[in-house]
Amino acid sequence: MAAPDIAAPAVAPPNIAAPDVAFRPPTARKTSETPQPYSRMVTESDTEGQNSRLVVSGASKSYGRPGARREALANVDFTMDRGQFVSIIGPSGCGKSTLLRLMAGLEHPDTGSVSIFGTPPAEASAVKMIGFMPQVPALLPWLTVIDNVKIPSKVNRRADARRRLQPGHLHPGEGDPVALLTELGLGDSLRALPHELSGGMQQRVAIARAFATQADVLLMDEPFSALDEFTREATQDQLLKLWEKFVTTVVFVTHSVSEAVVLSDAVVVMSPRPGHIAAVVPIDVPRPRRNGLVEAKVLHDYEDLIRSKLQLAGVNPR
Amino acid sequence: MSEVWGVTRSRWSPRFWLPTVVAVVLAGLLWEWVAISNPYLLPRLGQVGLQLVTNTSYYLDNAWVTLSEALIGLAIGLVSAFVVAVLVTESGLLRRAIMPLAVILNVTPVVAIAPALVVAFGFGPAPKLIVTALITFFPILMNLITGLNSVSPSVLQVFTTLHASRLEILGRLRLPGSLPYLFAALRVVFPLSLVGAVVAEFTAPGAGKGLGTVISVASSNSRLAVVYAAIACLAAMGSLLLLFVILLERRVLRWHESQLSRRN
Repeated sequence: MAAPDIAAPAVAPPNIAAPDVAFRPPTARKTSETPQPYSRMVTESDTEGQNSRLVVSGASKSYGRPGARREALANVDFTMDRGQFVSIIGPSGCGKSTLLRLMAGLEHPDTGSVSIFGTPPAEASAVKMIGFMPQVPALLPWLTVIDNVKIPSKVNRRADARRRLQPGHLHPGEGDPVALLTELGLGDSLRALPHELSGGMQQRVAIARAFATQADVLLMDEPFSALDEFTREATQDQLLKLWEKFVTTVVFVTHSVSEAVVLSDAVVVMSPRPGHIAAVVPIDVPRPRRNGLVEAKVLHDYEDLIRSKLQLAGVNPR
Repeated sequence: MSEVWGVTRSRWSPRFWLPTVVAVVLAGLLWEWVAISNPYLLPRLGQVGLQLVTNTSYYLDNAWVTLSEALIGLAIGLVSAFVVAVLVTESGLLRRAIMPLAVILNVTPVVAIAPALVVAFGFGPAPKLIVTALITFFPILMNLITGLNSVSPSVLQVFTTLHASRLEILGRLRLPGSLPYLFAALRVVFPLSLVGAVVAEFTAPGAGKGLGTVISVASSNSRLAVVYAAIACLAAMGSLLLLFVILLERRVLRWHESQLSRRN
């Protein structure tokens, strides 16, 4: 990892008073050396707008028997643009995982709807537009690292052809499993079995698996919560690198305020009883942000802002 | 972990093999003492050994018959348990239809069914195979059902968002995931298959071959040395079958937790 560049341009102080544009358009993202091979703004389907947004509108979800129902989500509206990295933060029971499962099509809203770039989640997952990454690595213990990364391309093969015809889909090409794993520092472990790897390495294999299908949106449910602080920061950096390279859309559920700030274009603050969105905080900090490239103070200001929003929402964050 | 209490546990160190040897020698001495004082209780070990050495081909012949009955019966039990396990885990309807029957079959003592099977199928190999299959069927079935249902919810979520078909989930998740459970069952049913074959041979003695027949005939003639020579053959076969399963398990389940402590 290179040391922070001293000659880097000074970072502008954060605009705490929310900027006019709630979400920066994806083109605003610039990476230092990687040229972006696909420009998403010239695609025809984008002109419709519908196909370039992930939309949850008026979604409610309750669990339990009639009479003893618990409302997990109440009338949630949520919109994000293609190419963004959005984190959802909130205490346990605020419905953030439920919201993620609705987007993944693992559950259906009682009322309201979800649209993944113009497609309902069930159809989107049928053509492999969605990549899901749970809390645990969820690797298959009997497969080697490389075979675990290849598994998404081996199931539901029919989807690959159909996906190219899907209106809301942009196909940037297949992610080469070996290249992905090498990029994640696992080039020497291609033939290893999952149990031979540390927890952090297993989670990186899971990241490679998520990126291997080049899904249009990656839904991540607290993927780093089981990692120690150092491993977690290194893994965040690697996730950001891949996200910048592959121009993916990421929805990232987390418990950690600092993690949400360093990763995201916008942080969605949720609040429980019943689960709803309490605030949306855009993080207007230039990228790349990894390895202390950004002044710590700027990030801390955002962290304080989000903590105050969480407190307003009746939550005591760490 | 090769270091325990600061002692290197090598296979060749006396600390490793001495306890076993001492226990075996003590058991042998006890046996001899009982055999000398009560000749009708146990034969002398020398007599049993002499039987095995002088009539080697006789015992090998009969052992082969029993072993092949046991293994073919086991294969039938394994295949049918596999098919039933997949059917009942994939379909709730079939589970409700089949499971009560399987449980009734399990709680019925197979030994009690054996004579009826001899009446129905005669003195040929058929009743022996059926008894062996019946006795091995249920342990495999129960373990396979547990194994097929043991897929982690997170992995299932990943596969669901990829829209994997049921067949893909069965072939790529459920079946490989059930292998540790299958091997736990195989460790039990490989030796158990010999029990099935011998029990079936008891019920139809004097017909054909097999160690069960040898034991049955020899014991009615009070030829204890022959009885125990046949028993020794059965014990040796049981040990070999168990060894085979354990070696196979080590190869197939390299990835599983149960094998992890073995390597460093």
